[in-house]
Amino acid sequence: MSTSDQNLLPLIATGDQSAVEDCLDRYGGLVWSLARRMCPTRDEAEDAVQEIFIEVWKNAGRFDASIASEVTFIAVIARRRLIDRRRRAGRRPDESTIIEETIRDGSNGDVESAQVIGEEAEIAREVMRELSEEQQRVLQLSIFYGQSHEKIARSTGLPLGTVKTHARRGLIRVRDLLKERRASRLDGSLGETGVSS
Amino acid sequence: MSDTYPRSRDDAFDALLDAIAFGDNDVAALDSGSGVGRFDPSEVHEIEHAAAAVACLYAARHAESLPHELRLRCEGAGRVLASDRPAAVPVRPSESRTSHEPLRFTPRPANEQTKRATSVNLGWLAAAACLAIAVVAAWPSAPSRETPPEAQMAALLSSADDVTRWDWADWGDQPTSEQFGSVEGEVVWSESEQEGYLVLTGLPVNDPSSEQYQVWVVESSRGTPLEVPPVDGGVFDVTGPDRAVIPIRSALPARDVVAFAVTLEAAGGVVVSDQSRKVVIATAPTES
Repeated sequence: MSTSDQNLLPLIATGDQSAVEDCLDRYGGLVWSLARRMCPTRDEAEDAVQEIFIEVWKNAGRFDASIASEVTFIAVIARRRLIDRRRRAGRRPDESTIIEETIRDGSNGDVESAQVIGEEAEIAREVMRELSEEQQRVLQLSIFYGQSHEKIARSTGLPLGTVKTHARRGLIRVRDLLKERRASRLDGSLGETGVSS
Repeated sequence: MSDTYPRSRDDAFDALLDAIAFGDNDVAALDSGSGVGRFDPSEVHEIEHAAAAVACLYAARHAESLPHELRLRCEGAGRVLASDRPAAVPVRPSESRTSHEPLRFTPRPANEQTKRATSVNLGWLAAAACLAIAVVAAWPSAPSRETPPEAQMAALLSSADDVTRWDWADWGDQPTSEQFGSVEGEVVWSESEQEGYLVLTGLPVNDPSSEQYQVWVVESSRGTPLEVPPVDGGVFDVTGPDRAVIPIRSALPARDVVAFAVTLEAAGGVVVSDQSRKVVIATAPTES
């Protein structure tokens, strides 16, 4: 059995079957949560999750912890697969679920109380706190709920260009902070070994 | 999807951001055009990582358990692949990672991607066939999505030795009939098979765009049905007055079940019910 912070994909890549269970324990809920929001029906979400995990199992050997955390690696695979399925089907998820959920949250995109999943998500949380509620909501609706910019513009009343700008700037800010942190971590580790960068 | 490829670098970068944020364009297809292809693949990956981080953040807020049956399917596929790892995923020397090629999420131009996919897929044809056989063999009794629930329930009744049948009863302060009309039916459950069905007649039709019925599985270890959050058993819709047979989709293995309950919740269901709209409950039959 793996420890809670041990990367599991390298174990799966070497044929460790128990790591498969641990991986589903650790990331199954995450992938299911993403699929439920980005697929129009529960059945399609189930099919998507199965596809995603088969792809994760197939690509386990490609994971590189120096580039991204395991959860981000899996989330990238999940998002690619979900977007691909949606593009092929030509359908997006039902907006009513989104409205219900955000109303229940009472947040309109606020993420103060979100759980922690991965270092990158923590950085994303920091960035989101810098953004206006409007910007947060655009990112939430586009990236988590898979909404098109047209739909977001309609539901929020924002101009189409503003929706795109919010999403683009938000992503760039998260990317920049991720790069910054990675660079400072690299500097730190080089410093420990006495190598100047 | 936009068929217009960006011409300038700024346009290309905007198209990339839109493709990753909104999924309106295919990143790989853009990559084969004149725009995104100008960027280093690592730039594409950085944006994808940023989007994945945002997605993880919100997914954590709306965390849900993977449904049990789905988990079994994923686990079975993983076990099959893990056990046959060297044959299933051949490592090609040309794809091995070098120190100056650190990123693994490289979208490639379409023609290169096709060539690469073909070579990998050839190996995967055999693996996929083995996988399909193995997965089917691993869960011979798993209910098929194509088989009507009525037939699945009949099969369970004829094959499982430990099937129990539970009657519906009022739940909550008011009788069910006063809020939801006269509800009849039963629950059919086999703990050994981890399979069960709700049989319901008389529940009001719901509007699935705003609310859905949700099944809850209450185990003895989780306390009494009225005090603790039980396990999500899936959501369902009532579309008419006819008798409905609803498969129970427990998110976790259910042991020592003491009750099955139904609540009315927001569309898509909830992780923990506030039990403000209790519909019916079926408690374990007493042994006579």
